[in-house]
Amino acid sequence: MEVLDQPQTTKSAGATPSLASFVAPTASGSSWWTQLQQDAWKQYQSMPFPARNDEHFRFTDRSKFQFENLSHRSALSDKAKKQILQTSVDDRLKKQVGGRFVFGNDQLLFRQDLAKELAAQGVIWKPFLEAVEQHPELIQKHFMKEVTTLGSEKFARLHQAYVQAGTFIYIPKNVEVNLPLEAFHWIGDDKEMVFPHTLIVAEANSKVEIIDFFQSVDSENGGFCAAVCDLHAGPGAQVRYVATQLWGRQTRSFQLQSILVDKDAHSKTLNLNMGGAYSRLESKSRMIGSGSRSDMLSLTVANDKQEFDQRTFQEHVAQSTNSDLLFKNALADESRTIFSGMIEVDLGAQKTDAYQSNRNLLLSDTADANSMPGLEINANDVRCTHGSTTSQIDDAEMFYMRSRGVPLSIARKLFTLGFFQEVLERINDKELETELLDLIDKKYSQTKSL
Amino acid sequence: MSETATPDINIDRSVGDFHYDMSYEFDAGIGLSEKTVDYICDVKGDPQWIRDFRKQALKVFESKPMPTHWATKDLENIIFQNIRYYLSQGQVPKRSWDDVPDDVKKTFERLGIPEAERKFLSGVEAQFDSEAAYSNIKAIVAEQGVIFVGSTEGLHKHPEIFKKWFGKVIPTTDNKFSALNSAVFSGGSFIYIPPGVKVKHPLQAYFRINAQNFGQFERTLIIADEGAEVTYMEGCTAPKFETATLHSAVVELVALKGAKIQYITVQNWSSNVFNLVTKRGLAMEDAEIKWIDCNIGSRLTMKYPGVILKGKRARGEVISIAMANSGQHQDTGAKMYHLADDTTSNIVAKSIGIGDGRSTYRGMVHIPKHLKGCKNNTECDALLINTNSRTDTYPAIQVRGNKNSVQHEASVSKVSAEQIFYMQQRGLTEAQAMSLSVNGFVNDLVRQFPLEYSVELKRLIDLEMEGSVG
Repeated sequence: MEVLDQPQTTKSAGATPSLASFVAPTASGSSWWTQLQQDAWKQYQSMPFPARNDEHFRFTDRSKFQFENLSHRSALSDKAKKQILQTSVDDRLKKQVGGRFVFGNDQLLFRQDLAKELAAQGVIWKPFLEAVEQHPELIQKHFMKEVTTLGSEKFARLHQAYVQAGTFIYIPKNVEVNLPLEAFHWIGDDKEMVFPHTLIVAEANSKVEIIDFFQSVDSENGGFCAAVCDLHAGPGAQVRYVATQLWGRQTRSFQLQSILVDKDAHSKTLNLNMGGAYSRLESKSRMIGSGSRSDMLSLTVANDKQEFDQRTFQEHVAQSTNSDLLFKNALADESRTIFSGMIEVDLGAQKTDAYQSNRNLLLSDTADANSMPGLEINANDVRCTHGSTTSQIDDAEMFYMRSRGVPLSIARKLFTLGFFQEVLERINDKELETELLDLIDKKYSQTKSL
Repeated sequence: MSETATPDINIDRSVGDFHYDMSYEFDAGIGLSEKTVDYICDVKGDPQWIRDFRKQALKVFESKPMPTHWATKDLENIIFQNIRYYLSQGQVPKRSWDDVPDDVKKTFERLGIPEAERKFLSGVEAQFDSEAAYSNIKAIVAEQGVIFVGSTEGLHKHPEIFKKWFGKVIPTTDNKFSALNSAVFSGGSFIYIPPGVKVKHPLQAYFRINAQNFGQFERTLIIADEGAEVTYMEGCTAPKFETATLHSAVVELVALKGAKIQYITVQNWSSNVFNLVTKRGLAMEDAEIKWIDCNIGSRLTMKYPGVILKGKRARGEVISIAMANSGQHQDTGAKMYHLADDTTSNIVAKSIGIGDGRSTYRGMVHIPKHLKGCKNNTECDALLINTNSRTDTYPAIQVRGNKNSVQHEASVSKVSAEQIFYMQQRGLTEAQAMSLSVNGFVNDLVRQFPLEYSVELKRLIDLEMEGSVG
C-alpha cells in the first residue's frame, strides 16, 4: 500500500490559509432570515478549514487562499457604475431577454422585470432579498437544501451568512419561459467580496433558461466570490443554466452548484471559465426520479498562472437515469487545471447510464493538467464509463493545415476553437454559441505566448 | 513448457485451507516493540547497519498515521499488538527436498511445489511463515552466475549488491506498511541476474502463512543487470483462521539498461488476510518492467504496483486482474512515474465483483514538465455479477511537458443477458454460461500469463463463480 498523493506540487507548502476578512456580517431583512444568516455564520465559525490532506483539495495550490482586507457592499464610483451598465445593458440591447438584473458589489443597479403575461401566469423572477420578503415559504422550502459535499462546505456556510444579491426564479407547472433570463454580478473594486445566489425552482413540465455573468470592472482586479446556484427541476421540467465566469485576473472564487433532477426532467448546465487567479467550481447533480437526465458541460481557457479547480459529482439515486458530463480545458503558459469527478450509482439504481469525460489540451510545455475521474458503482445493471485524455495539438493536423496554406498560428487557433466547438454545439442555441465562442476567441488572442 | 499443460501449482483455496500444529524453534512472541526487532536481528545474525535500519523504520512506522483519509476504514481492524512478527523452524533454507522437516514438507507437497520444480522451473524458493524452508536453483542457471536466494542469505553473502539497492526503490518512509516491513522483514527472495543473461524459465516462489495471528513480512529484491531478462512468479496461500492475519511485503525491482523483468503474482490468500503490499520497480534506459498481478483471495488487498521510468525509452506495464467475492475488498491499481523522455507506460486493469464484493482501481500517472514524448494508456474495466456488487475507480493523472499524451478510460458493465440466453439455449447451465462469460472478459489478459498460470486462473474463476448465480 502506498501513499498516492505524492509527489505534491503545492508551490508554497508553508502558507496557511488566512480568512481574516470574514467577520460577522451585518443583519438585514426579516427576522427568520436574519436568524438563518446568523446560524450560518456560527456554523461557518465552528467548521475547520479543509485539512492539508483533504482529498477534496488534492493538487490544489492552497497558497492562494489568502483572504485579507476585503470589504462587502462598498459604494461604487460613478465611473464603475457607468461601465457596468454600458456592458451589461446598453451593449446588449440587441439580445432579446425575458428579464435582466445587474448587481455591482452585491447591490442592485438595474432591473428589467418579467413581462406582465408571465407574471400573471405565476412566474416569479426577483432579486433575491426581495424574494425573501415576498415569498418566504418558497425560499424556506428550497434555499440551500442541497448542500454540496465536495470540499467547500465552509464556504457554503460563509455564502449563506453573507448572501444578499442574486436571483430567485420560480416557474409554475406547465409554464414555459421562452426568452432567457440574465443576471450580471460585478466586482467593482480590487478588494471587494461578493456572494451571488441563484435559486431556480422549475415545477412540473415547465421550461426556463438562466444565464449568469460574473465580471470585474477592471480585468486585472482581485477580489473574492463565493457563489451558490441551486437548481431544482421538477418532474418533466426542462432547465438550462449557463454560468459565464469572466473575473479579473487576481480574483479568487468558489462557485458551488447543485442540480436536483426529478422524474423525466432534463437539466443542462454549462460553465464557461475564463477569469480569476484561483477559480473553484463544485458541481453536483442528483438524479432522483426515473427518466431524469443531467448534462454537465464546462469549457475552460487557462493562461498565465491561472488555476481552475473543478470537482464534480453525478449521483444516480433512482432507476433508469442518465447523466453526461464533458469538461474541456485548454491550458497555456503556466496555468493549472484540476478535474476531479465522481459518478456514484446508488444501491438499486439499475439501468443507470452515466458518462464522464475530461479532455485537456496542453498549449504549452509548462501547463499542468491534473485529472481524477472516478466511479463508485453499487448496482450491476448499469452502463458507466469515463475517460480522460491529456495531449498536445497533433503535429499531423498542423501539417495538414499548413500544407493548405494556413499559417501555423492560425492553424493552432482554429484547432483550439474547434476543440471547444463540440461542447458549444450541445447547448443548442446559435446566438449564445456565437457569444461564448467570441469570448473564447478573445481570450485566446490575448494570450501573448500563443 | 508446452508439455506441462496440466498445472501442478494448485493454489485454489480448498487445497490451501489446511494447517499443521508446528512447534516453532524461534518465536518472537506477540506484539511489536524494539525488543521484537532486536530478537529478529539476533536470530538472523543481522549486521549492525540492518539493525539500525530496522529500528529507524520502526520509529517511522509508529509515527505514521493510518492512511484512512483516502483508504478504507477496514484498516482500523488490524491490531498490531496482537500479531506475531517472527516464527521459524530454523533459518537456513534446505537445499534438498529430503532435508526439509516432514510437517513443512507436507504443506508444500499439498501445494505441489516439488513436482512443479522438477518439471520446468529454474529455481524455487518456498517460504513458510517467516523463513524460507526450501530453496534450490537449477545448476545451469547457477552456472550463469544467477543468484537466487532468500533475502537473509543475499544480505550475508552478497552484501556489495544487496546494500547498493536495498531500500532504494521503496524508501522506508514511503508509507506506514513499507515502514512496518522494513522494521520486521524476514524471508523473501534476493535475485541477481548478471549482464546479458536471459533466464529461460521462470524463477518461482511460494509464500504460505501457517500460524494464526501471524504477520508475514517478506522482502524481495530483484536486480537485472544490463541486458538481462528474468521472469519471476509468486503464489500465496494461507489456511483460514478465525482471526485476521497480516501480510505486508515489500518488493523492489531494478532493471538496469536494456534489462527486462516480468513479475507475476497470483494471490489467493484466505479471506481473513489483510494483504497490504508495496511493489515498485525502477527501470533505467531502454529497460522494461512488467507487473502481472492477479488478486483473488484475501479480505482486503491494497496493492498498487508501480514503475519509476528513470531512463530514456523505459517502459512500464501493469496487467491487473482482481476478483472480489462477498466479504472481500480488492483495492488494487498501478502507479507510473515518468522521469525521462520518451518513456511509455500501459495499465490494463480488469475487475470482477461477485455478491457484495467490492473492487477498487486506484491509479497514479505522473509526467512532470521538463519531459517530452511520454505516453500513458490506462484502461479499467469492471464486470459486476450481482445487484449488490460494487466497483470504484479513482485514478489521478498529472501531466505537463511537451508532446506527452495520456489517455484513461474506464467502463462498468454486467454480463449481457442475451449472451447468457444464447449459451443456455445451446445447453449450458446458467452457471456455466456465466463462468464462460467471465473468463471471456479477462481472456485477453489471461493469455499474457504463462500457460500453467492461465489454466489455473481459469479454474479459480470457475470456482469463484460457483453458486454466484441464481
